[in-house]
Amino acid sequence: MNAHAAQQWRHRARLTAAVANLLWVLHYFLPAFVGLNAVMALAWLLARQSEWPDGAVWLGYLGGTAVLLGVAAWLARRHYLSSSDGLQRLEEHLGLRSALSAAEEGVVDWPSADVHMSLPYRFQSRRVWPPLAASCALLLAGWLIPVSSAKPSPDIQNAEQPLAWEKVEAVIEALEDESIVAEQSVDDLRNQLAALRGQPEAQWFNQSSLEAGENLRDQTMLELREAARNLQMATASLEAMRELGPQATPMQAEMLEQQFSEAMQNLQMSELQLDAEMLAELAELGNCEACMRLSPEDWEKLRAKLGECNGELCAIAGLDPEELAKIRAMCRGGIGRGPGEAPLFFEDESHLSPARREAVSNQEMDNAALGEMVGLRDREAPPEDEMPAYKLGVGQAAPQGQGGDVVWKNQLTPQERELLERYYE
Amino acid sequence: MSQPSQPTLDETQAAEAARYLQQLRDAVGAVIFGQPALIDCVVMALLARGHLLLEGLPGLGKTELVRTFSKALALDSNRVQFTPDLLPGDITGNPMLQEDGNTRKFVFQPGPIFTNLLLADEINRASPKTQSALLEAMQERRVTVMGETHQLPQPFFVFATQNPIELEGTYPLPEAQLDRFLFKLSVTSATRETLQRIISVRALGEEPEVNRVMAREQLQHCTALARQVYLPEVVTSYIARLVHGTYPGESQASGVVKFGASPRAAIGLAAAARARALLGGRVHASTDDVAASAEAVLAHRVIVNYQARMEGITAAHFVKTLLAEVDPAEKELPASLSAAKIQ
Repeated sequence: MNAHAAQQWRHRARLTAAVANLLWVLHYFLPAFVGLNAVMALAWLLARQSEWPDGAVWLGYLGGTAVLLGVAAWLARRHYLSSSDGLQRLEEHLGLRSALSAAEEGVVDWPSADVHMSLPYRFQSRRVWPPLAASCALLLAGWLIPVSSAKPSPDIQNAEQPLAWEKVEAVIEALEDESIVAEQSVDDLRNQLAALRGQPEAQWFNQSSLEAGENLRDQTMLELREAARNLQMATASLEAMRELGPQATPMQAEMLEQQFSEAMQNLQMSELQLDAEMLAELAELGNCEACMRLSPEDWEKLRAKLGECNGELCAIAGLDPEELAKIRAMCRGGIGRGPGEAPLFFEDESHLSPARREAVSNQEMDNAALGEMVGLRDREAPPEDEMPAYKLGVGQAAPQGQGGDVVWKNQLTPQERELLERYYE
Repeated sequence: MSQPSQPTLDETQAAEAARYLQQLRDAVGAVIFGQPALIDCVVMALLARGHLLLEGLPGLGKTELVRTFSKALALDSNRVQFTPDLLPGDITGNPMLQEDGNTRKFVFQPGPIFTNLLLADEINRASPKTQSALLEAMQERRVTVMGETHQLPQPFFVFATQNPIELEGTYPLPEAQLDRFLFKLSVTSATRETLQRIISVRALGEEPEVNRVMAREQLQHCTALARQVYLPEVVTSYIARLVHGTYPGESQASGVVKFGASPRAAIGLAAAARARALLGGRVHASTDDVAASAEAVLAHRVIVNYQARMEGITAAHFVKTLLAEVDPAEKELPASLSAAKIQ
C-alpha cells in the first residue's frame, strides 16, 4: 500500500514537473516561434515568387523550429522542476502541508494516493494562444498572399529560346535550303540572330531581348514579303513585255521598263537580296528588246524559275502568291487610271500582324504598301440610314487619330469605343 | 530518499502533545476572550522556548494573559513594572552583606528574574542599562553578578509589554534586544461581542479562576517534542528564502528595508514553525507554518528605511509583501501557468 502510494505520488510529481517544464520551454519558444513564422511567411512569399521547391522550404522551417526548440529547452533548463518540486506543487495543491515532501524524506508514511486529482495548475491560455494564433496568421499570409512568379511562364521557361528566334532560325534554314537569297544576306541574318544568342542565357527572356528578337523576326518577314512582291512585280513586267512584244507603244514600253526597273532597284537595295546570279540574269532583261530576244524556251524556263522563286519566298514569308498577284493586278493601272479600285483592304482580326500594321498607317497613305492591311473591321457595320454623318461607311478605314485620340482609339476595345462614341453623341 | 538527520517524534507523541496543548489553549481561552490567535502565538512561544514582546494599549489584557498562562501551567511568575529609575540589580538581584556571627559575607539575593515566567511590564520605560540587563538572561538563561553566574530556573520566559502611546520619557528597545524576542505580538482591541462577553462574565477586582491543565514537566516535555518536529527541505528552503529576502536588494519587497533580519530570525522562524506544527499534532512542519509565523517573527527584526516610514509603510506591511512575493515552491512557474489550490 505504502509502496504503491509512493509510486503513485512520484508518478504524479513527475507528470506535474513535466507539464511545467514543457510550458517553460514554450515560454521561451513561442516568442521566437512568432519571429520564425514571420521569417517563414516572407520565405514562403519569396519561395512562391521564385518557385523554389516546397520540400526545401518545409525542411528549412522544420529545421528552424527544431533549433528554436533546442535553444528554448536550453534556456529553460534553469527553471526546470524536479520530481521533488512536483511533489511540493502537489502538496500545496491538495493542502497536504508538506506531507509529501516529508514522506519523500522518509519521515512519515505516504498519504493515500487513491484520490482523483487534476494537475495542480491553472492554465493561462492568453499567454499561449496569441503567439500561436499570430504564427498561424503569418503562415497563412505567406501562403495566401498572391504573388506573381518571378520566373518566365512555363511555356517560355521550357522553350530553349524565344519563339521569335525560332522563327528567324526557321527562315534562315529555309533560305539556306532554297538558295534563293544571297548567302551574304543569310549570313547577316544569322549574325544578327547569333548576336542575340550571344547574351547570357538568363537574359534571353528579358523584355529587351524579346523585343529585339521580335523586331528581327518582323523585319525579316517584312523584307521577305517585299522581296516576294518586288520579284512578282518584276516577273509581271517581263510577262507584260513579252505579251505586248513589238506592239507595245513606246509609252507602254517605257512604263513597263520603269516598273521593272523599280522592282529591280528595290530588290537590289533590299536588306534581303536575292541570289546574285538571278539578279544578274534579270538585270540583263531590263528592256523590252532584251526581253524579246529571249527564245520561247528560255523565257519559259526563266518564267518557271521566277515563279518558283516567288512561290518559295511567299511560302517562307507566309503569303499566298495568288492573293499577292491579285492585289498586284488590281493596282496595275495606266496613265488614265486612278489609284486603283481598292489598293488597300480590310483583313480579319485573326490575321493581325504587328509588322504589317506598322508598315501601314492610315494617316500616311503615301507610305502604304500594296496589299497591306490598313485597319480592322471591329464591329458590325450599322445600316446606312442610322449611321451618323461623322462615322465611316462600310469598307472605309477608321482613322487612327492624332494626339490623344490615338490613345482611346488604339487602346479601347471596340465595345468600349462604341460605348464612348455613343456617350458623346 | 534522504533520511532525516535528527530524531523525530512519532505521530502518537505529536497527537498527545497536541491534545495537552489544546487543553492549555482552552484553559487560557476561558479567561482571555476573543484572542485565539494571540493565545496560539503565546503557546508557540512557550514550545519554542522563545520570549514574547506584547504591544498594545493599556487594559487589553496583556498582564492578564501572562498571569493566566502561569496559573494554567503552574509556573512561578513575577511581574516587574519597568520605570526609568529601575536599576539592573532590581531585576537580576543584588549581593547583600549578611552577618553570620562574627563573619560578614555577601550573599546573592535573587531578583525577580529568578522565576519561570517574568512579566516585564512597560519594558520601554526602563533605562537602556536596565533593559540590557535582560540580554544575558534572555539569551543564555543565566545571570552573572559580581563574577558569579547564577542559572535561571527552567523553563524561563520573558513576556515583556510595551505601550505604543505615551512615548515621552521612554527608551525604545535597541535592535539587539528586540532580536532576543521570538515574537512581537500586537494585542488588539476586543470586538463588541467579546466586550459583551467580558462584561457578562467578569467583575471588577475579581480574579478569574484558571484551571491548571499542565504541569511544568509536561510543558518541558512538549518543548522537547517541539524540537523534534521535522523540517522538510522545502520548509528550510522557504525559511532561508524568506529571511534572505529581507536583505536590501534581495527581493522586490526589500526596497523599503534598511536592515534585514538576522540569522537568529531564521532559527526563530524554524522554531516557530515546529511549534505550530506540534500545535496541529503534526510530526513535520510545513510551509504554511512558516508563512503563518513569519510576521510575528520577522516584523520586529526588520528596520524599514526612512522613506518607507514617511510613506507609512511598516515592517508588518513589508513582511506581508514579502510573503506574497516569495513562493513556498522554490521553482517558479511559467507565466502560462499559475498554482491552483483545491484545499
